Amino acid sequence: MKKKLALLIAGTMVMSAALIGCGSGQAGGVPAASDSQEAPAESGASGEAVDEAVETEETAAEESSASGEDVSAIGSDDPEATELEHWTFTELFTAFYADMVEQWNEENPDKPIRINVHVLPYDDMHNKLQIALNSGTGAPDTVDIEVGRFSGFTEGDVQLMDMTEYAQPYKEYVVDSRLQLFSRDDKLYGCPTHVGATVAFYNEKLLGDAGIDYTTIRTWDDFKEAGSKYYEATGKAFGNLDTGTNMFFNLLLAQLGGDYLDEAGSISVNNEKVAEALQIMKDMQEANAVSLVPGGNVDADEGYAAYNSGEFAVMIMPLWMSNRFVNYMTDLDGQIAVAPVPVFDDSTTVLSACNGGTGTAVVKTSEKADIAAEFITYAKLSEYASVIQWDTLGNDPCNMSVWTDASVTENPDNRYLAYYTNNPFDTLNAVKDGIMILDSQTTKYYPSIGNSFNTEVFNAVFENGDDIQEILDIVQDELENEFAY
Amino acid sequence: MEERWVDWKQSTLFQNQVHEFGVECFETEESMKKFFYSTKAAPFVFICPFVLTVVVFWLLPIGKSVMMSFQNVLQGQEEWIGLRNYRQLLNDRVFRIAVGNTFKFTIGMLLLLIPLPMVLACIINSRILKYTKIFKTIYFIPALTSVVVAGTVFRLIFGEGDRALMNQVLQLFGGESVKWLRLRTTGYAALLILACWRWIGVNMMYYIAGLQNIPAELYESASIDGANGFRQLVGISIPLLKPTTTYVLTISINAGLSMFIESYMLWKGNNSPGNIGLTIVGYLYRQGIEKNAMGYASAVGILLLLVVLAINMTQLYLTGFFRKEESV
Amino acid sequence: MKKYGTSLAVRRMESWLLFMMIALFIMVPLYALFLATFKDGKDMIQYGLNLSLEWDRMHLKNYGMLFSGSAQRYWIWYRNSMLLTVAQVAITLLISACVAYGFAAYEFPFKNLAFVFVLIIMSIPFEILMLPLYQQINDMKMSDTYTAVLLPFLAHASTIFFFRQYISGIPAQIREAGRIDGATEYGIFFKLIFPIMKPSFAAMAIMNGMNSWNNFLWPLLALRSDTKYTLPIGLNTLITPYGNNYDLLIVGSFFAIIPIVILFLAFQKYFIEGMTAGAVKG
Repeated sequence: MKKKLALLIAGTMVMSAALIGCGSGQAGGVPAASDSQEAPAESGASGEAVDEAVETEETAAEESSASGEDVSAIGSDDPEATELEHWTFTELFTAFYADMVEQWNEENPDKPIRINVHVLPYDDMHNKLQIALNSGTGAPDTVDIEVGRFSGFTEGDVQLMDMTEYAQPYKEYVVDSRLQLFSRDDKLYGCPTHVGATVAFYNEKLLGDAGIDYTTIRTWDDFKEAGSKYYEATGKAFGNLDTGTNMFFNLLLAQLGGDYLDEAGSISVNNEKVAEALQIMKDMQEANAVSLVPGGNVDADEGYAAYNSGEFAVMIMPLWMSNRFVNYMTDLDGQIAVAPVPVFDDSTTVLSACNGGTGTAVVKTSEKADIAAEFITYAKLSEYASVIQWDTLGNDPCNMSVWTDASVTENPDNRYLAYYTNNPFDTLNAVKDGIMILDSQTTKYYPSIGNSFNTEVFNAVFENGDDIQEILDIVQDELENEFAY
Repeated sequence: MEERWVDWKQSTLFQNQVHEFGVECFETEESMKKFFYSTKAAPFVFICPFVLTVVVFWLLPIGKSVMMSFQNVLQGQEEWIGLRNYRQLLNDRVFRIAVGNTFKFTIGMLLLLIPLPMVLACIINSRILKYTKIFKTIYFIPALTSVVVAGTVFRLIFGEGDRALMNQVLQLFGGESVKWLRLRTTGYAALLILACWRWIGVNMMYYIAGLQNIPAELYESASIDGANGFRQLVGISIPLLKPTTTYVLTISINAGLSMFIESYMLWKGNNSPGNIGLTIVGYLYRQGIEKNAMGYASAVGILLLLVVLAINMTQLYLTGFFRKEESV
Repeated sequence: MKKYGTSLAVRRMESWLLFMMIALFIMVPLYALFLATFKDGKDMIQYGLNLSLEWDRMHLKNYGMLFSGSAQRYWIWYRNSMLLTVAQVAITLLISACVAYGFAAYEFPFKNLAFVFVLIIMSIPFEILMLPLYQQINDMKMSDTYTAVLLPFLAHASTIFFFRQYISGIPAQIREAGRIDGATEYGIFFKLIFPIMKPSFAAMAIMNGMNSWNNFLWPLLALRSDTKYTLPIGLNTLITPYGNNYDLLIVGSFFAIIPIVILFLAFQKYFIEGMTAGAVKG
């Protein structure tokens, strides 16, 4: 009896799952896209989709399902439309592409496009892409590649398309370092999503309560002093010390004029500038100007929680943290001011460093490579794209013409602008000419170097208090062993 | 010429020959059929699909792996490099960390997941408690959950903040919050706790099944002789559970040596701080799939294979598996 | 059972305590998961997983989302997992039974050697051959198909071992009787032996069902299309470097446990029976 009941329940579940899964797959529209439009509304866990995008998607989906096409495609239902297979690793971008395709189709009625966005798990997507490119089959037309893994795809016989000529119309407006980051030998292989300029986020309220005015912090010495003072006054942490990510560290290294490689371009992570940067951070840690972040990374669950409850007052991170602030650190609304990061002295030319980000690439061997390249450069580098990136995803836009466009920078409806106490674009404009990258970030060594630092070096130095030179020498050996052949 | 051919075709000799050939075919077919249905062929037919699968999907990949371990595999082309991968491996500090971790986890798992389930099973079997069914069910549920679910839940439980579950438990006992997943010893503890949570019920079930094969009379006569519970445990249960223990030991060792996904889920990826959660298979995955160094990864795989085989064979031999098999 | 006076009561207490403690250890994470299904995903991020019963923060919105149609892909994963599990279990049971029968019921040269060889091969952990197997699947152009997911696991060592023990326990007379009656070898197997093996099928159905439902690594490597993803892989896609979708992940995880628990509860009796009938006799 029990058994029969169980079978009945199991059977019903199979049936209903099949019905819901199959049936609504047809009528309810895009699996990936429609979820991402609902999920953000419910959970706020992803960026918000603009209302336009929502409506466009629904109509597009209805139209496409009416004509019996592949229901996971977004865009034009013109049967002549070019259909692009796109891989990405976060549902956040699905809504964004939906919007871009819609806009593109409006402006280019002679070149309609339909895009099929597949969301794969982060690690897995990159792994599968690697295999697909190597074996020559199964690769999509376009793909989002995260910056940390980008170099893995630009070695040897590069399978990504050179988009330099398609990017021409936008080139002068886009932050140059970002284009450089995704270029190899002057060929542009990936279009950046945002600038990712590293800035300082100061919690005005917490600092004010402790008697600290953030506008007086100009140099790293000022920063350290302020940090110690804050700690003494409140007993809480001042700035973030991450062990799982190297964004803050890269900034310091760039400001010191150092890099992970030597002049000849070979790996030299144990050189003096690297050691110096680590020592500077360690000194700051000891002065309580920076403290270990729970979870090892500000950009993770425990980090958000710590900041949200006021345990930290300052954050040195790229500007795309805006969407994390708005979505996860809601208690800090109206308390955060954006300012350029401190420098060492007036001679420091590096005012900010590019960190994080995704490069969208086109697969060379795709039959639709040309139109894909045209679309992707539009979807990532154009003014419209930049506005949408900022408005919906809170990513600092890479097309600089937007930075001085009052309709964007003074937009009263923009959630991110409303969140901060001052205008982040002021900061962007202030550091405009000093946004740099490390040369090593464009080499094939970078993913491994970044990995080593994020798993071993920072942990050893800041968590365990190991000797800096020792751990650097060990990691140097390791990396040499890896790239020995 | 044509006529000769036609003549011959019509001749009886030819027709006889054709007829005989036909009969032969038929008979061969018949006897093939008979063979097929006979007791001689039947086992092979039964085993055939399985053997094919094993050859294609187990032996071939292993063979290929052996080959690749001696090669440097780049996109589309392979280059024979002899023992270079293995030499590089021996110099590889991270690999040594992975090996150390794996062995530590395996030993920890064995120490916890063999004696304890055995004792639990014995208690259940001795009927001291009533309502054991509910316990059996509860203990088994963790094994039914997917590693993804279990790993994620435990990652949240072992968070660093004061509000994380484990830290709240610690605070209950007057301790302070611990950075579970960032320090070597606590990371080890967390992984071990996760493994125990999952497998304690399963191992207990195996032992319960094993115990049911031991006749109750043995226990009764032992109690008549005055042996108490503990003596019975040591004198009767443990020795007679040897086959079960062998089985559980084998699968536990295999599981420990090939642990990967638990660690992957607990640290949300393959990159644990200081590589405290890196196992041999984790390193294999990192090299083979993340860095696309197939040759190097194959070398790791082959080394692990040798270790697993060596341990399993030794164990089987020591517990007399081979001797017993002959009498089957 | 003979009475041992107070020492029995003491031992009973001690045993109870031990069992309760372990039961608590096992239930707490599951209970926390259950509670979390009623909380916001954002709470998970801010407060972590805990046992607090904050009634004002708890709601049914997650369940609403799950069943309302905004979680399409979750049910697609669910359906895929169901299909794959049923297929996998059916095929594995069938093939394993055939193999076990072949080994148990017949004599042929090198039989023991072959059996031991097979067991040893199959006791090799899957992780060791996942890499070359992955390459092989790609070379055979079979990647992203369910065939590729099923084939390597057509037969399962412990299942074969188990069935073999079981079948050895079936008296040979039954087979003889079948032969005398003129049945073919295959007839004997399917019509006579099969029905007798039912309890063992039930037991192995649970084991294989469990493995297949929760199988993560191989489907992850073999599948590429998001419409083909199984539940574990799908849930894993909710964890990204750009934020975790805890709402769906938590309630989805909870629901992923249910069918398997039901299956287990239903066949639990056979499971124990089946295992007793000779699995671990060695």
